[in-house]
Amino acid sequence: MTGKPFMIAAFAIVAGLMALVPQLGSEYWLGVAFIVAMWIALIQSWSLLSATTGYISLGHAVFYGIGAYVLVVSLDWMPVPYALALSGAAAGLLALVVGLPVLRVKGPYFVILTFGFAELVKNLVMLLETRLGQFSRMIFDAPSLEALYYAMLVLAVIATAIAAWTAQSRFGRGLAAIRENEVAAEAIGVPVTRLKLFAFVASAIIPGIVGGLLVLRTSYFAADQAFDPAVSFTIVTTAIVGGLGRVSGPLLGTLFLVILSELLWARFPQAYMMILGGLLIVFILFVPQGLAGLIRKGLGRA
Amino acid sequence: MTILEVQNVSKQFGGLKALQDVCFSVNEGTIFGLMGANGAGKTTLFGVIAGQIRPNGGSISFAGKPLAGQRPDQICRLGLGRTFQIVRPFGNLTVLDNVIVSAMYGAARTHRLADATQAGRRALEDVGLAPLADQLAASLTLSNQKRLEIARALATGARLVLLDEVMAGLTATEVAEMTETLFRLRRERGLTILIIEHVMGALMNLSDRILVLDHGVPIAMGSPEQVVADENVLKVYFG
Repeated sequence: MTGKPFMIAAFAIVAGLMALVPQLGSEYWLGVAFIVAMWIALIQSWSLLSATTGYISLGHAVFYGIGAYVLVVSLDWMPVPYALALSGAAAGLLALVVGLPVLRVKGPYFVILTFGFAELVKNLVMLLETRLGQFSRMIFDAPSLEALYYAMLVLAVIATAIAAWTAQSRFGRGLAAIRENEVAAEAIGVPVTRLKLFAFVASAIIPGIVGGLLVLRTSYFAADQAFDPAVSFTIVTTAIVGGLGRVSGPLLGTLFLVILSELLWARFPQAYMMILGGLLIVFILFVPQGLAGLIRKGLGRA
Repeated sequence: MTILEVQNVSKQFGGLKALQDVCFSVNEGTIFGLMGANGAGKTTLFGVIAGQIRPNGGSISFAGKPLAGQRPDQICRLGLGRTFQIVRPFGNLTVLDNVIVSAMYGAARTHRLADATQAGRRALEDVGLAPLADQLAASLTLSNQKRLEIARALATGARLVLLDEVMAGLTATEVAEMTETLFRLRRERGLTILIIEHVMGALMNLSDRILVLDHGVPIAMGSPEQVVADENVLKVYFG
């Protein structure tokens, strides 16, 4: 029931159904599906580093934000697809540059450092924009929502495919060894630093492109919004609620998050973040395996 | 044929001289024992050889290649494996997955999963862990986790393994079994073993040659018979 062909078929059906959403002809549902694809892409990418190695990044908004910023600036010089590629490349490059020093620290220090770094970049971009006399930037000829949605869906599929491949690859096994015991991993020949850096860079590229797509969707860039730490928090929370270490985790977590926010956001906007925080505590304490773990258990008993 | 050559290795931690001018060489296919009381510098010496600890002086060469400046993973890929006295299992992975990752990244570079699984199973059989292959490593007893340490070092495809007190906590029967296992590994795999052991009988029984350290200083070296009769050793051990 939970074999490999079954999982691949299940993912293909989900992707196929999502590809049909534009046929509904509803702007509302297309918007919701866009958000679903966005969180899946972000969380799968984040998991590539954090769920596999245990280095929990609380600053992934920085890659998303830099992608948004690079896109909005580069759009004056180049067509959208090139600008999006540049967004991804910029995020990857940023990860490469900061990765070496940042990945030297572990556990809570890594969490705090990634968070602090994201805030630093946010403030630098805000300062730069103010100096340039820009308080926000508008995009006037963005592609249609349908086109953006398909691009986002492709990112979600790629990110999920990478996660699935990693889980059973030599690369993924090396990352798991690093998570379990870094000293022992190095002693059996795992090039620890190189693997961590590679995972960090790989986990940054797609979020960079996602940031670019989102800014095209909103047609508006302001640094404090693009680098909003709430994005980082939501990634971590949703990943934990969905279940770390399983490819289906980010999908289930996203589904749960989007349903929750659609239900609550309209009616109780103030309660939304509080409920999210409460859920995080409940899941960490009582359901550490997340929704994916719960479902697996349920299937095992049935 | 010398496989490991240690020359004038010294290591200081602050004011503490953990190792002073340690020299020895190990011939291929032999078992070389390291003896000494707690704090004599045995584990530090292992760390220096395997690359986890950078020495302050001296040089080490393995199979003719100098190890200076090499990282532990590079040294492992040259064919030098080690175990840890305080076990470091990959607890949330199965026993088999512990050795598969080792086969994939170690000197053997067995990239294909099927080949790595085969190499891993062979290492588990060598130490008697094959029946527990599908258990999580964290669920093993301490003596089995010590066996897993050996299996993981073997699965890397190492020609020389450093075994750090793998018999501590084993019963007398288990010690006898382990001794037999190590002899068999040397015979069948042509393995060279550098071993730290507090179980004196086993060390005497196993070793072709023994080096005795006292507070980081080498005080005696030779066959087990020579070492137990050595004046310096008797003084340190029995006053």
